[in-house]
Amino acid sequence: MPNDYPIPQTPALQRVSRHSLQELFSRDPETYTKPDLDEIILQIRDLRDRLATSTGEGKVRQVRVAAPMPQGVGNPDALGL
Amino acid sequence: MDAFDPIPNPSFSTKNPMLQLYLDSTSLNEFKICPRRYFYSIVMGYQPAEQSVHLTFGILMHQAVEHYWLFRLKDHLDHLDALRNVVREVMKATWDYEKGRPWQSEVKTKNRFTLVRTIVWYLDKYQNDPIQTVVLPGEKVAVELPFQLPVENWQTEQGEEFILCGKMDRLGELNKNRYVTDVKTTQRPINSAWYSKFSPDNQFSLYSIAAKVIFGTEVLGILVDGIQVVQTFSEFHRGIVERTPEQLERWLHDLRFFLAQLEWCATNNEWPLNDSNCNLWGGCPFRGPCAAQTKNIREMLLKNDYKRRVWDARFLPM
Repeated sequence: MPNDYPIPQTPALQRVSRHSLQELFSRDPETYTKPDLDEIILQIRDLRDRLATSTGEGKVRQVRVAAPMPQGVGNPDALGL
Repeated sequence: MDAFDPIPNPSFSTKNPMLQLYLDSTSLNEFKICPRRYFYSIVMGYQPAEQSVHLTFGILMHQAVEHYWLFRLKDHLDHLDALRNVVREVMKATWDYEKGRPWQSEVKTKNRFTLVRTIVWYLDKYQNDPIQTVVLPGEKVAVELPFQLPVENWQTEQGEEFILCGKMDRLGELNKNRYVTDVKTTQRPINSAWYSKFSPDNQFSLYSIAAKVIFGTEVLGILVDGIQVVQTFSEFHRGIVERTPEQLERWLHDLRFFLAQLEWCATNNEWPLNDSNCNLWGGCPFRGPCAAQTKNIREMLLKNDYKRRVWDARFLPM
């Protein structure tokens, strides 16, 4: 049964992949093989990398750690990104 | 069964059957919001027939992160093997085996695809997490930590103790400071204002106290991974929500006020409606029964539109 929400297509990968994300997400997970799971992970990573490239952020941003912030206030800019 | 027949719940007193003695942050929160809401959801165990998409998404996200760290730290799997196991678990958990189809979500930002996408991106990002997971005595990896903590210097009229309960995601160390870690998802942009909503916060205060008392370790507070999930991307932030000893003492002091109220309600089987909170957080799930014009209609609504479960707050070790 098809999914009721849009799954982005990855044309570049589909040419070399055995299955699209749409197909994999529509299948009974009991039938997944190890390559199927790797395919899901790879295609989802590809979406991230294409998004990062399109926004100029680069593929992976290094985690850096700063000192704790003032009491009770989170500062997302100072940690983790 | 009558709509208000109690169902046996081991979290409750045997001497005063309407009184919950084992209290987790959810139960406390429900009571603080509204005693009537607490009565429906915790004492009677009603919940909407369809679980909230946001709740389902949050639970599955938590489970994925917890299981990933157990695969990595307990089973010593590498990142890809652990991630593959987690993806398999999530795909199974979001498959409706009875109907032979994926989990159906009416929320565009939170569905099966955005969940798996968020998990893969999040775990890829933090696979070499600078937070070191604490190893407790007995070589126990501090992941998925249930706790039970008696409330000191307070007993019910029947001489029973209240026990605070919960389950922490992980106890971690960063820059030689220790924190309870937690993951929260939101559709909104994550900034300082978003983090500030956790101070004060019932769950985070309770967990800070528990980490100190149960695990004998000073924690500065909760290290929160905030995850913004929208239709086209997921974005990750990390912030610290601190708690001082004075703040925690105050929270425990105030808790006694609510425990006294809870015991009064249970003893008298009176659960007043706090109608100032009916519209908060997108509307109370029990608005319908509370607005019913007669007792018969209320009972009919509860029987038809809700299902019952036992909310066992004890979080027994697995």
